[in-house]
Amino acid sequence: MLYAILLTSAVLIVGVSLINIITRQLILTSFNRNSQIAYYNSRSMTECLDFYVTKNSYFLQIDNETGAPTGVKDSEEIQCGFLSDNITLNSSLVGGDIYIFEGKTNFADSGSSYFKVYYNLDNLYINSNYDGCGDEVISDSFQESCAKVIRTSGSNFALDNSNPRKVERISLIAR
Amino acid sequence: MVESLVAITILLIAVVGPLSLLATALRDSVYLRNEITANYLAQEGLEVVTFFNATESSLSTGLFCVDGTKEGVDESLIQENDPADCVVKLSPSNYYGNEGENTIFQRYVIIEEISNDMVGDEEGQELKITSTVAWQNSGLLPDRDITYTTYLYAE
Repeated sequence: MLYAILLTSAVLIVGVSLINIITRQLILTSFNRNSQIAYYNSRSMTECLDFYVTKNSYFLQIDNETGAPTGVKDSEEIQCGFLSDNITLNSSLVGGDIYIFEGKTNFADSGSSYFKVYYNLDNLYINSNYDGCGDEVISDSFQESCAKVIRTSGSNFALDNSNPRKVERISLIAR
Repeated sequence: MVESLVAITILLIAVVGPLSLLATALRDSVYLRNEITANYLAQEGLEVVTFFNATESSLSTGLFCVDGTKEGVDESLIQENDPADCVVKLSPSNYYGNEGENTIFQRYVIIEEISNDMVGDEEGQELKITSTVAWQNSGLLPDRDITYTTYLYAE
């Protein structure tokens, strides 16, 4: 009886260990594909935000007489084809002349993203004679040296999903 | 006699076990090589379209075979009706494209225009790009495909 219990326990331990290893292997082998899906979700969000950001008047307040930007709007709504609903981005001042629009959203099919759009008014041509990163693009802090920075994180699962196969990738555009 | 049989059986298990493991590992490494190649081919499909979306005034919609070795949009994105016509070839200089010997891979991208009122109001266009690579594994391994999707915007 004792030998039977010992043998069964040993077989059970080996079996459970094997299942554990196989599960981990399956998760690991799916990382490559899931990572790429997360990356392209991030890119999709970046491309969508960039479309609106490159339209100077979209997130900025514009002087009707001169046509020059005078500041950022309090909030603005955007529409991207991979989202089921429009999303509203609210602005806040994060220091100096840097404003940030941020948000997070689930995609219509699968995946999600959270994102930040930085506007540094100091580097927009409102307050200086150049619009963009100028010569200072090599910097630890893009948002301080550029006029507009889009930083997007994309994932292959929804925001609140804690699946072990979940991967996050970041993409960034600095202008 | 019985002892000899038991000993031979144990020896056989000890030899056949690792041998079958080696055979499986070899088959899996071929499978993995195909998967990695397909992965990069699918990525290249999306990157080629992304490049031409940034450099060309507008892209046509539909199903296209992709050749990343060419320079012009008409040579790189060849419109077809059937994905089966998009067999990837391997050139003598080891580049995947439309020239050389047939490989086991088929690659095609689908460019669709997405209706987006806000983008339209800003005189823009939203495109959904799907890049698919399908391939046939040898032996008993199943056929596979890999698909990546991204969205692009054009002014």
